Amino acid sequence: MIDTQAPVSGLSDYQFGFSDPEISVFKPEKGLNEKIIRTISAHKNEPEWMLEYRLRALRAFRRKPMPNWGAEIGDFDFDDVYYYIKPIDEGVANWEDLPEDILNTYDKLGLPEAERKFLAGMGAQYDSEVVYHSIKAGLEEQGVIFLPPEEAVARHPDLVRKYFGKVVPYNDNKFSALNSAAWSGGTFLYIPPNVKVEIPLQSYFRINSENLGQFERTLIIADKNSFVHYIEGCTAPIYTTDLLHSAVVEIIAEEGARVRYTTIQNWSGNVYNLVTQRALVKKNAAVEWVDGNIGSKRTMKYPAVYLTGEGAHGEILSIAFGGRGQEQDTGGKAVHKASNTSSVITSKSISKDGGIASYRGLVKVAEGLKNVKSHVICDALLLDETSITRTFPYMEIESEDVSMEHEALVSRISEDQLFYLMARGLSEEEASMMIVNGFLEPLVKQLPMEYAVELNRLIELEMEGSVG
Amino acid sequence: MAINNLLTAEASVLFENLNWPRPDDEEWRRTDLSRLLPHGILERGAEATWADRAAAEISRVQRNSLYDCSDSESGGPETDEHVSASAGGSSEGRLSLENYAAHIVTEAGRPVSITLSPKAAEAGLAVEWADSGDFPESLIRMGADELRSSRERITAWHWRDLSGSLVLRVSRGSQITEPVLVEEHLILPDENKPLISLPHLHIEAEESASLSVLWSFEGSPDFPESVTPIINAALSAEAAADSSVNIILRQILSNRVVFFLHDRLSAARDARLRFHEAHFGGALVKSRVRTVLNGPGSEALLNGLLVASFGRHMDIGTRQEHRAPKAFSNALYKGAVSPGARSVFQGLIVVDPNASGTDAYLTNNNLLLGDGARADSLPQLDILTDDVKCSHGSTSGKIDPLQTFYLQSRGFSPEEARGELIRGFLCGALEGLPEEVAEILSGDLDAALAVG
Repeated sequence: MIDTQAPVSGLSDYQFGFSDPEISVFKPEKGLNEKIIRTISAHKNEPEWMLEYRLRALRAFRRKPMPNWGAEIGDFDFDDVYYYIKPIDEGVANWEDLPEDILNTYDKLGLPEAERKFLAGMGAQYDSEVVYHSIKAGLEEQGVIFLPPEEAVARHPDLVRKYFGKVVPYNDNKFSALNSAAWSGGTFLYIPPNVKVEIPLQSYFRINSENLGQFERTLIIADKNSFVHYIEGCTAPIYTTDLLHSAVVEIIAEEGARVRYTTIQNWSGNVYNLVTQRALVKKNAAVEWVDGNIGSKRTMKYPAVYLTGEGAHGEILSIAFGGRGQEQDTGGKAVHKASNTSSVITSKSISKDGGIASYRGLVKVAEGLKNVKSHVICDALLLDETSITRTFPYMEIESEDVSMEHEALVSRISEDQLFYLMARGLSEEEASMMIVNGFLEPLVKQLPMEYAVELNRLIELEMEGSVG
Repeated sequence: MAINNLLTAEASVLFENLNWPRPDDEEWRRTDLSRLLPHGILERGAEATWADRAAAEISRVQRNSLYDCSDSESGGPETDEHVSASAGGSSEGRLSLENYAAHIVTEAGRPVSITLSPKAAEAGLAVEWADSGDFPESLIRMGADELRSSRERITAWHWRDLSGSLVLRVSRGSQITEPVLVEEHLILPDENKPLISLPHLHIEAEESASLSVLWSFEGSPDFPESVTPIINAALSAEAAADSSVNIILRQILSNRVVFFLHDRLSAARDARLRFHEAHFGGALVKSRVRTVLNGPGSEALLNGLLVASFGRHMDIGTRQEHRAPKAFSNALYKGAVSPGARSVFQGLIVVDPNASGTDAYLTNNNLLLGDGARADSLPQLDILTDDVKCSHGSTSGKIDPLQTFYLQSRGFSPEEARGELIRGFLCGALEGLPEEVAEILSGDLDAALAVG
């Protein structure tokens, strides 16, 4: 049985809101405590050091205060969450080997097809575990490692230990502590020196069970002069209760490497999406975050680039759509710690039906650097008078030889523009849509083609009925 | 001791219930008082002003009679003499009543002389010293609003121990063409007493009136090592419908002074507010100007200029609150920061849901004069409706070497070229000032750049 009816009013245009019957082979009780952490660790047959890391993180999570800024999280009850649900015993490398219900889900989401057409490798996470994982044979031969992190811990312990938690320490913030304690699933990706992965790799995250917290962990290491484009997609069913998604993504771009990380987050309107994403960018390396936040109830996510080597470049493109009941608190951080580094942050947000879209960003330039450039643009579009936009840029400049520019602009769809387009025969809805597309265009053209199409379709869905 | 108005009572309660600002409060994150100020100095200061206040209550009658003679009786040659006798600081010599509608000198926040030109008095300007028991209604209203919205101990301290306020009032339709000059001087305190000043300036412009005020803070240079002077000043200004108020704040305090400033400006229908602030001195400066556009069609221009030379910490903030439709506001703040100094700019535009047709802009430009200078810039927007045109911009950078090269090729020495470029960068924030005030500030700028 497939339930495609959305039980929550106002969200009926969310096309991924179906839920399939819950499947689990193991499901401990709600709440986060030492026992649960030990259970998760035992299920994964983890080495002692990882268990200890988790327990340290658990203590940090209890100690750390909730942030007193950002999206309104209010009294989210961290005890009313399942921290681990294991859907099947072992992940598979063939879609056909998945239980029918799970395969059904992914078919509806169109993943097997997408993989065949566009991707060099794919991981699919269902609740707490990665259920499907595969990579094109040629890449494996070149030494590319693309695994669920649990398997990487078992098979490449030295590599994992060298980088895990080094970019985002477990005690960085409350949510990184939460993830470090309860992490399950995600991706481990290693690209050897000089290997260029021309076709994107993708992971897809799906929450299916009610009251679940998903805490995937992604670690990407791009060795010298390598290149990879990694894509992440997320959806969840619509429940009347809230879901929690708190991921940690760490990227290390070694000398001369380039990494592009694209997220199109389309969680249902009951997901608290509290994510820490950070990249360490070494000499002459470049990291680009493309961050699309369409869904979720609350999102707090500020992809960061730490430019630690000379000639490093960081780019953050952020799109946020704040619709009814949504608060998107997103943005980006660029921390310049070396000379001759540059960063660009471009943020575009749209607020509609009383939704809130906030830009929160930091540009920091350490002392004594030469020739640092940073450019920040954040544009906000308001579609009606009840919607809200906020901008909180922070600029901390401690060197002289810096060129730092920040611009922000808030506007609405102007009546002149609408009038002009309607005079040319477009309906009001088509005209609005065209203006919104034009507003997003500089970002959308940065996406791979199939994603650009997908994003346009999502925006169209969100925009439906917005005129009148 | 009788608490003689509800405002004082409210401020005392608030003061008791709050702590000194800490860096975990976003507003104070970049200005950590526990690190920047000698230990216990705020506590001792607040105790001292509280005790002073109690003493002042007792002698209130005498003080009233003393100041009454200089305030309401305007004009006459004897007041002219009074002015030249008491005017001090760098403004000396430039001053004559022909240039100013009124001249007021305060020492540590208390009036020493009040002089009003007969012409201005006739035209509708009134200058008076109001004891805290006789605060005008608008001052109490704005004070209460400020206390409740800021919920901050330093503000509460100001209002709790404020013994009186200078009140400038322009009557309906009066155009006061010459500016009013208010000079605040710090004086050496009695032995072992902290040097604290809590000056307050209140401005009321009635319908269709207009007024310009220069509020000048100057510090005498020779404080003993043991003294850290603190000024906890506030300004409140209410511009009634169609009126025009122009306020210039000039701060050339010596480099050991701690300067807190909270300004609250409000504009009714079609009123025009201009606020310029120029900070050249002080060890620690924390200034906030909050502009409330209450009336449709009102307008506020905020301009700031700061020169932070070695060792100074300047934290300047603006808030443009649009509460009515079709109002316009623009803030332009420029800073030059030397190595060993730090500047913080925190600006915010707030647009209420009913403020449709809002036009609001915010710009902050910083010039870093060398490595080890630090400039933080936080221009923020909080927009709650869609019919708005809002933008903000911020830049931080260094002097363009190409421009220096060009000037040098035209015969400027490297130092001259640098000086001219800094001056050229900053002077955009000095536009639109009355002539005599522009001259004074331009002189201050030269002096500040010469130092460093």
